[in-house]
Amino acid sequence: MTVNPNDHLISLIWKYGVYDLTEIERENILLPIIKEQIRNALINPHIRSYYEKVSMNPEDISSLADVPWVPVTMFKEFDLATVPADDIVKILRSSGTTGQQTSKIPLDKITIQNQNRSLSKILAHYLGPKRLIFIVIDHPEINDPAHEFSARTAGVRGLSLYARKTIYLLKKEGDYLTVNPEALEEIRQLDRGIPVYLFGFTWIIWSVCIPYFKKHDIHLHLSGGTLFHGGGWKNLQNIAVGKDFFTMNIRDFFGIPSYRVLDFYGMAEQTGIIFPDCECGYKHVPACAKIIIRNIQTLKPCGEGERGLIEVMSILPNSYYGQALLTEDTGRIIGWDGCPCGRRGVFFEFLNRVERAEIRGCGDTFRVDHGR
Amino acid sequence: MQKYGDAGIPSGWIMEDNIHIYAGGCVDKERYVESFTELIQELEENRRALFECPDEIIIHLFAHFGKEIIKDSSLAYIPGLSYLSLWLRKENLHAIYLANFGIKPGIRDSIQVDSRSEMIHVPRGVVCHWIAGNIPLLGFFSLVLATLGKNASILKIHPSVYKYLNPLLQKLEEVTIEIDRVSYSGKVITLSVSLVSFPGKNEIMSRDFSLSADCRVIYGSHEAVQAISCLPHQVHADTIVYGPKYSFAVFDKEAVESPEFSSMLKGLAQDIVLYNQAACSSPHTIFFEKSKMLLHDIAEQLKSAFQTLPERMFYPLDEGIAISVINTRARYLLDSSKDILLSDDLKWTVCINDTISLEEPVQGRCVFVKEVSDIDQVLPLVTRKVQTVALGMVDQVRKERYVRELAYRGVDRVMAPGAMHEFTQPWDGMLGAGRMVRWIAVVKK
Repeated sequence: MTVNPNDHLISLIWKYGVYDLTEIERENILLPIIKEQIRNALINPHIRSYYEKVSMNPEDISSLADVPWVPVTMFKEFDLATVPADDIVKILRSSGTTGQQTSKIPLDKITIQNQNRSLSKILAHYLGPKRLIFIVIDHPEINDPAHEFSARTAGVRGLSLYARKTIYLLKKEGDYLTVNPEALEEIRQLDRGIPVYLFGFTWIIWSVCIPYFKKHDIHLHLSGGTLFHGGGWKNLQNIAVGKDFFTMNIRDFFGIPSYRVLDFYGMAEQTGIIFPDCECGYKHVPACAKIIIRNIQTLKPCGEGERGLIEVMSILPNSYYGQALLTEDTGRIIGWDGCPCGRRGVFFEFLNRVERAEIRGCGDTFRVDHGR
Repeated sequence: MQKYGDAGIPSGWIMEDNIHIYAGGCVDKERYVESFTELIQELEENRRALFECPDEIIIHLFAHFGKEIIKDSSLAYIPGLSYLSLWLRKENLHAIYLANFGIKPGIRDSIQVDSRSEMIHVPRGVVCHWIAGNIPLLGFFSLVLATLGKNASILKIHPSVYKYLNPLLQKLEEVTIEIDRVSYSGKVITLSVSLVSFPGKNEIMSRDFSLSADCRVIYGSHEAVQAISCLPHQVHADTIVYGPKYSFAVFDKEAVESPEFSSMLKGLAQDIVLYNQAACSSPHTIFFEKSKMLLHDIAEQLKSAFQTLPERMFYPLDEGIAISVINTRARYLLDSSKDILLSDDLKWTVCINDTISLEEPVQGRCVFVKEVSDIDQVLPLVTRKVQTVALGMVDQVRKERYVRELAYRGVDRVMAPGAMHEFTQPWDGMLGAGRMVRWIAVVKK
């Protein structure tokens, strides 16, 4: 196995606290680590090709914003492994939410350790030091290794790290999802106010769980619960369901206090990092990562409040080029420091995913057929 | 003209299931209706005045309007305005008129067929235009062609282009000219025009619109053209289709090695940048015949050409297109067998590869350059879907032979680099304005 000279540095990062770095501190701490990781990443011919074509030498990188980023979708087309093949112990395959080509993310032991450690730290920050009962608002097969690794799987597996016991609230009936009455009863039997945490895909909670609870007049009393949910906001927006209305329904039917209904942002390509809402409704960046919002026209970092593409930088990946990944999601920086929740550093909000280009009009030529 | 109350339905860009007739042209106040009947009645009444107006006056009004729009700073935000102004020059409109109707305007409205008969042209009536949303001013060009034939027009537009077309109609309405002590107003044209929007998927409205037309003009994608063409229509109505097309450029060895090459590339860079490559006349692939210059060096020259273009030519990209460009760039950066030149922002992208093919359009000022050992290798790629080929060739004999071959295989327009978007007649193999009139046989005494 390749020895990673950054191992000690990455483990040191947590000494700074999960959300205690200012942006200047983050820059100073992460930049040397990422530069070293890039030197190692040049073993990959694709990454080497990229750096050569943009005439970038890792030694010349003077700020995190200068690190060449790769669009996340490139994991669907290129092998971006940065360690020898023998070191890879697992390949994450994720279709994401678009459901077409599959992303392949090669993981070695170091990366898996880094990711697990990071997730534990982030979850501990929100849930406290003890392992808790984990209620998955999904069906058990979602975590079946025989099935494809989806964004939902990534969420369930990642958050399971903190679980003392896992209950799957839903079950599959043919192609449909519905509430599993036995699991529901098990949850009802839990002591009122017992600390638990829940995870579910926002759209599934809304379209499967809430209607069932309404129909059967079910009101849980999970006042000690914390719900992490994400994904599928576009569907909710299409039916004019906003974050506040969603949260209100969770409070009414699950009994979870509004401030512990945490919408989170994350992706399979950056497993180990999740961005849950803070009590003020904003997302914070853990010490091992950095967020840059890039102007979609100029590609330069945006100023405060300016909408742009979300770039997620991370020191966790050792086995693939995940140091700087540009997403197709948009967000905006709310502030560089000083969120009333007390967490330090930049805080931001997720806005939407950019709609794929649909070429229209007389310039729409070859997508149909080449014709005669 | 009838007055209608404002239905007060905010539509924004989310199209309601009704017909939105915009304020502008013959319509005082926007309204929402379920059929085109009343609008057609208005236009039928108003088009008589246009019919009575001499051709020469219509051309004068457009030409005067063309001069005015470029002076009006409040219109400067409209993409393609300066080109529209140039295109509306009197000489150009005269040339278009002559090409389409076979006579000069204002001389005598008839063409001799033989010793016993002559023919004259008259408007078809109401022309219904399905305007694609990719080129902001496309609707206006189409309107001018219909108006030269003295037709009334209803333009079905994407709501996003109303902000460009309506101010132009307002400006045209204000234009007045005086000829032989008679004053003429642009209203004679605008009173025969209306802008509308409705969901194209609404079959009832689409059928109604189609059946309202004495002539249908369809711009759009394969799906749009197929769907609209199949709508029921009046038996007498002609249908003019400007369907999906692909454009590219070819330079032969002699042109690459000629002193004019850098100015040709500058012209081509303009062609790529204009309309963010969303037009059917936008080049996506450029072929260079093998010469003394390496392909990478040619790409560097193209890069320099992009860099000389003024900032104002670069309009923001559609976000989805920007993502496509970002991903295409990444593919070329990560693939060691490919080469690429790119700006720091998304202004321009030159992808270099040697596969002899017409690349799938990415748009967003992203072009593919290739080297071929002989430009004849490009010919088998040409289909009837190819519209414009920008040709950089010096030898006239070779050029003539090449043009004939391109045309035989399906190309509609062969232009010089820098002139690909010139809205010339014919277009897509047709004389559009000529198709929008009826030809009447008249026996002489």
